[in-house]
Amino acid sequence: MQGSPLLTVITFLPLLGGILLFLVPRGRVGVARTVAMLFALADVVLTAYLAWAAHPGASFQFQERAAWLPSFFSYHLGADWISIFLLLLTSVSFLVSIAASRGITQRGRAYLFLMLLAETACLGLFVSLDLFLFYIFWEVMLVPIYLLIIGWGGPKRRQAATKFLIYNLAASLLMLVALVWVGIQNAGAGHDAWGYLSLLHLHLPAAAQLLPFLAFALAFAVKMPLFPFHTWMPDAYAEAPAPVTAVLSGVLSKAGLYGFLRLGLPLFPAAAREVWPWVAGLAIIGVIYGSLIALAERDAKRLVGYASLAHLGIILLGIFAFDLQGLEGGVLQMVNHGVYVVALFLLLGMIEERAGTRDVTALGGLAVRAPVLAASFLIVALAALGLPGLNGFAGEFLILLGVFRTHLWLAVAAMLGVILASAYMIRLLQAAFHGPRAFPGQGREMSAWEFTLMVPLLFIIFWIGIVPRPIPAEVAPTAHHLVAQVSYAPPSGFPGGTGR
Amino acid sequence: MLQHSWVILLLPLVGTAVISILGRYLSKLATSLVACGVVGLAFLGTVAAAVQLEGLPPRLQAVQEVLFRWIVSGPLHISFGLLVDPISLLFMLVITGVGFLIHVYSVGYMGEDKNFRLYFAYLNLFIFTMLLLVMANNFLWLLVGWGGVGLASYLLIGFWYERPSAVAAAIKAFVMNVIGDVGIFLAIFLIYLSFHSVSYNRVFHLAYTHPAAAGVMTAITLLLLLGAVAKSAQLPLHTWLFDAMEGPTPVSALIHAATMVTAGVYLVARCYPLYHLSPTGATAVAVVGGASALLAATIGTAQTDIKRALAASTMSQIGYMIMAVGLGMYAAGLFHFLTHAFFKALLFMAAGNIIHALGGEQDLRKMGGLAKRLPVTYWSFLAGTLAISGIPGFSGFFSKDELLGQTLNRGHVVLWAVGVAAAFLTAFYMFRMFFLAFSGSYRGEVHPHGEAPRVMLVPTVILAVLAVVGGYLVLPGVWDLIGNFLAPAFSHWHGGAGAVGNPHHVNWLSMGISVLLALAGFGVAYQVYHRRAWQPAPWPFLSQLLYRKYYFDELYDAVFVRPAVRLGAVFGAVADRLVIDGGVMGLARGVRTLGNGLVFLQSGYVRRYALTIALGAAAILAYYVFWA
Repeated sequence: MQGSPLLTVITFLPLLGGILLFLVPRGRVGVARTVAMLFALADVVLTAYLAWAAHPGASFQFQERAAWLPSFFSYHLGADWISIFLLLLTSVSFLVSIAASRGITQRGRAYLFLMLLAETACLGLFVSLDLFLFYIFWEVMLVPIYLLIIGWGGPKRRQAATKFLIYNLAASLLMLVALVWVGIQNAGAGHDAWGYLSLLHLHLPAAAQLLPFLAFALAFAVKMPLFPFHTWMPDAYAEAPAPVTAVLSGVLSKAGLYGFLRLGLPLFPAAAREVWPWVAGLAIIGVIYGSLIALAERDAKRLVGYASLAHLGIILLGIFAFDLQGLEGGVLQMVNHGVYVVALFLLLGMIEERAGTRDVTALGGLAVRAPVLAASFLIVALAALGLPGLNGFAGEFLILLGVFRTHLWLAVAAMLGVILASAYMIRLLQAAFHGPRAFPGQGREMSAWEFTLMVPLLFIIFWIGIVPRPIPAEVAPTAHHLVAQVSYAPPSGFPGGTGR
Repeated sequence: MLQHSWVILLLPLVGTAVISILGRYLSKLATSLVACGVVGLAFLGTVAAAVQLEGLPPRLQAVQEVLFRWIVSGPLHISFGLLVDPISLLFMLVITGVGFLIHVYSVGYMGEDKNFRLYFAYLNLFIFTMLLLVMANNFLWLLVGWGGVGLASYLLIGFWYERPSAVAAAIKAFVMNVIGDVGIFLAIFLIYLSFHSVSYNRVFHLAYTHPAAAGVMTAITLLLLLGAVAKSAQLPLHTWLFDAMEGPTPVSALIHAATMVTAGVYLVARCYPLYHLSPTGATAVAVVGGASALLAATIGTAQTDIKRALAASTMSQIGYMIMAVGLGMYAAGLFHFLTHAFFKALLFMAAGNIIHALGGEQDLRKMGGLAKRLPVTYWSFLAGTLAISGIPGFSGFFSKDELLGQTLNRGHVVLWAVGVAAAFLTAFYMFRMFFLAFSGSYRGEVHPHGEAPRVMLVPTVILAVLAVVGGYLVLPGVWDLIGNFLAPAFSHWHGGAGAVGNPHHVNWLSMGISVLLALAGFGVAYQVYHRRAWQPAPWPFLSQLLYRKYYFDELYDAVFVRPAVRLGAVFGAVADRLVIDGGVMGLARGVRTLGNGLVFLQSGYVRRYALTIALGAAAILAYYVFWA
């Protein structure tokens, strides 16, 4: 093995913590949670160190490599700035979500083990430089989430979990086929079959790219999810316990987008260019469709799920604009979306705990007793609807600028999503906190602990909103590279509309 | 102060932070001192800055400071910077000056409210965002301020959040303002793609050295206009303003009369170089303004709620300003903004005194005979009424006359006619309101309290004085202090010619006609409402049409709101669950039926899936290892 094992440590530390949890006596859930949090916290510190130690540029840093099955696949890790920001998002999201799992008392150790396993899978995915390794992490990710939904979910958990699993497995099996095919091509060219860096130089013939691209894209689209591959999402989001929904939406959805960025665009640029109208079309349909459903939805978690469908659609639009600002905005918004959606789902968990329901027509008036909870929710909701000055706006601005430049009418249509977002987020906020009080007695204020959980997320929301510069700046070299790889020639005649 | 204008900006933000973080440890008095203190200090700072700026030679009267870089992405560079020039200073003076008076007034008005501290945290937040809006030196941070005032407005409209009507009004205001934000959002994209910058300085410069296509300029100016009409409650995005009266009355005075709703005027005035390049855009501004002025004035004649009647008058008066800036008469429009801030804030505060005395009653039909009971309020309201009606000697006369005279001078006869017609209606509905409230005998049920406490009366009286004398800043044929003050701002870039009218070019015809019409409006109102009991209007259809504000709310509800929600419900229940999910699940079932022999694949056991994957992968691998 070469290089320092920093990425290995970051990746597997949560898993190690998860295994050590079983040394804690069965009944001591509190102790187990503290241990889990300490490992998650250590990972936050390590990823922060990683970001601090990393140097600018597009290259993969902190690489580690160990031959595993020579000439086939190797244990190869590395991180560029896209990975680094996603590692930060992952470690922070998992820490906060684990810390927010106080309500889980039954089989607490198993729950925490599965959360930590899921964290390892997500982290590993974002640093894999070997396609087979990527695939392993991709599939491993499903197992803990499936078990978390089925073990600790709501009344319809079994159905929701099964649907989640089958949906995702079916899609990734096709990806496996494509992955094998790509590996064969690469091996034929004399490289390690699934070495990512060598795959970058494979330059598959344009005609051959389409089918494998579609196979990969399907897996990514299901994971995100992208309209119309999203129907596992409302059920899974609704049935999973709040902290699991938080990481599912905050982190796992990024795996799909990351797949497009890391594999879809660079390995199959011609195909990506070919099918972009379809991808962009589905994305924009998802924006409008998800927003409209969110406007009418009664279950608060499903509402945010559909809102998320819309927001992820906008990010995908940015990625598929093949434009510098669109890509940088896309990465920025991946982080932003992760932060506010984790906060939103955790806050919804707190609301449900107080009111005993998630039905927005049955909620109301929480602000009277819980003004701090109301204020926290307000800030997060405003970030989610893209209020200028908060983090959601910065990403949206860059993305839509990129989309506007390349495909004017898509950006104009996406603006409809921005308007609808203000309507459904404010509706949700008011339904929960304003109006006459819907349930007597209940509705206590946020505890000090609950508030502490929100502090880092609120801080990031403000920080990125006021000074978003570092994220697009660090991602810029990679984004330049990606734009060049897709070798997209921007339409010359502005304002000529879409140009193609 | 000029070099450190960020201090002015930051003061109210500090107030918000202190009150919201330390609120529970602060007494009401301490909260009031902090909230009023920061705004008062900001006002003093603004005055100091104004004095300093006046000392500079005209061509240097635009002081910029860049504080930090917001985003850098390829060629895109956006910084956070401030610009202090006469235009922004005029707004800053009103925001902090009138804002300070309304803060003080609020101490009395909101004294009994259980969320007293929250109120002042919001009010300071509003001052901060509004200052940001007028002080930003580029379009992006303008948008940040723009969204911020929308938020503050939303929070304060819905301040009494246990009332369903306030909740409904708040979301309506927010969403309609976001529609405007989107207009500015898109305008920024077009501006950036045309001029590769979003800072005023570069954009206004490049718009002349490297002009964009005429169509692009028109699109930019129309999109900015979309933002302006949403914020300034002009046609067709005006409906939120009436419902915004659900907020506490000082909020109506500050946000929904004196400052925020005039942001559209600021935007057009700030972008004068762009509007100069797009006659279509400028004409659209003027037409929207004129139409709003007249339409709102007719609405004002039929309202029974005193605050909604004042809201109609706000929309109407802002219509005048928008019309003026659309016609390029920037100084006249901004002068009317100034006097309007005085007399409209005054009218709202006087109305607040009435509401305070009547225990929350806002219905004009249940008022009457209040002159004796509320003498200070009576005289103050009278001063405001005389000012807004354009009676000679009072501030509104000077600004409205300047505006209408110039309109006629420039040959816009139709818009001028619209303006004087609205002036007649203004005098009518204002005196209608005045007589209904103060003359005759009391018609309400609750026993009225006496005059409001001094902390409310003193700001009212100060504004009453300003509403009377504020107009003498421009004395027709003699001097034009406003024009002199603003002139340097309109010489920085191209397109400012004619922004400041010639004070010696008085149109006596226009003045005579508008004064006569104002007196006529007074006369009609006197005939109908003075010392009379309330009587329903003789034309039920017309009065219902006006009372319902031409059914815009009902129209939007039927065409946009309900269809969107219904579509969402159908998508959620039918499209998502039955069609898409049903299709996928059907596919899964089909596969299962087909491959009955492989049914174990869908067992739902994870270990079996894992095994399948591993076996499959191993088989494929093995194939290539050993046979390929």
